[in-house]
Amino acid sequence: MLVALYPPAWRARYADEFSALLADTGVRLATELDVVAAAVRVWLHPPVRLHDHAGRMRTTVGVTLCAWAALAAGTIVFAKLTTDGAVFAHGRGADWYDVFTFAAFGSVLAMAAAWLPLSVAMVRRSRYRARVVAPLGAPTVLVLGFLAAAAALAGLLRPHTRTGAGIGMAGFLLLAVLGVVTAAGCAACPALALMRSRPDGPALTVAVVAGLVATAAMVIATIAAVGYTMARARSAGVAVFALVMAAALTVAAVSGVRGLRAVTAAGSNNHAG
Amino acid sequence: MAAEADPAVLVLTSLAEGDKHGYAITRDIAEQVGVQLGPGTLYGVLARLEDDGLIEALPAEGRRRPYRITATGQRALADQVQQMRRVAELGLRRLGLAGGRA
Repeated sequence: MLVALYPPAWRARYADEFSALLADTGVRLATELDVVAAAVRVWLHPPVRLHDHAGRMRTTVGVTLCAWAALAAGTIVFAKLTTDGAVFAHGRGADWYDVFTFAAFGSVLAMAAAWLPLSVAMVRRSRYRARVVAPLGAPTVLVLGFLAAAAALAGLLRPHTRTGAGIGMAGFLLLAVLGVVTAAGCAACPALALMRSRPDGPALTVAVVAGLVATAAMVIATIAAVGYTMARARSAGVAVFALVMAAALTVAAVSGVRGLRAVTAAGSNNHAG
Repeated sequence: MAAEADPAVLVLTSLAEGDKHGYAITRDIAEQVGVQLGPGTLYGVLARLEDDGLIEALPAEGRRRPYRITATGQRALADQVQQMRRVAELGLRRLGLAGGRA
């Protein structure tokens, strides 16, 4: 049980002898506290020999995708609430909105650059391709399903709203929930494929770097979105938007930097070898 | 004061006597120095010392794996204890506890 607290690479190396030591010394509360603290230290600073660089990079790619899905959902909600989803805005703050649009689309391109080569690599190395292809294709199905649901909701609810336009608050909330579920599915399914296929090599390295670029573009998009809102003197809700985006950006950035360190370390090891 | 000793120095000192597995190391340190190293602390130190090339793992004997101090580890331990001795001698001299040697 206590051994399970350690990272897989550590367990593979030390689990047997560590279990034998625990059996010899006996387990008391002080032992448990000591092991928990030590396990946290190993997670934070794994022994150099045991550092699984490819594993770290895969984790980064998965975490970045999950955080990016939240960021993408945030930008869509922002665009919908401020300009009804328009690509370009007019009037005050339009320059900010242009930056927001270009940065958001740049981020989408970077994520595509991260995942397209990686997806090909994953399918190629997988023995049971359906187990990888199905979760990789799931986001497309989920997005199409969401769009169909949105269209159906609009058709059903629009005639019943007071103005005859829009879908009303209840419809909007329902769509928001569906959107969150879709975004979560779009992140979780490729992450599942990543776990099943366990890719490594250049495609994984590209995915880490492109994920960092996508995150950086989202930082710019978030700043531009806040700038646009402030320029139009509409501050209601912008603080919540900025907080949610900042939280997701922090997760993506921290994981991205750790992945980049793994890329660098793996490169050094290869040169040394 | 013994409880504040560097666990890495304690482990190297224990292994300077001969190859030992985890339980033998903790028992030796507890008996000789009075410090009880927890299993998590011990294996954190063993992993770090192995990373630094100061000890090496020997083939497992059943579920237990003995460790051996390397030549680099012996030199590092020697440097460390020499420094500790200089600090101890200085402290004793300045406290007037060094007896006739001051």
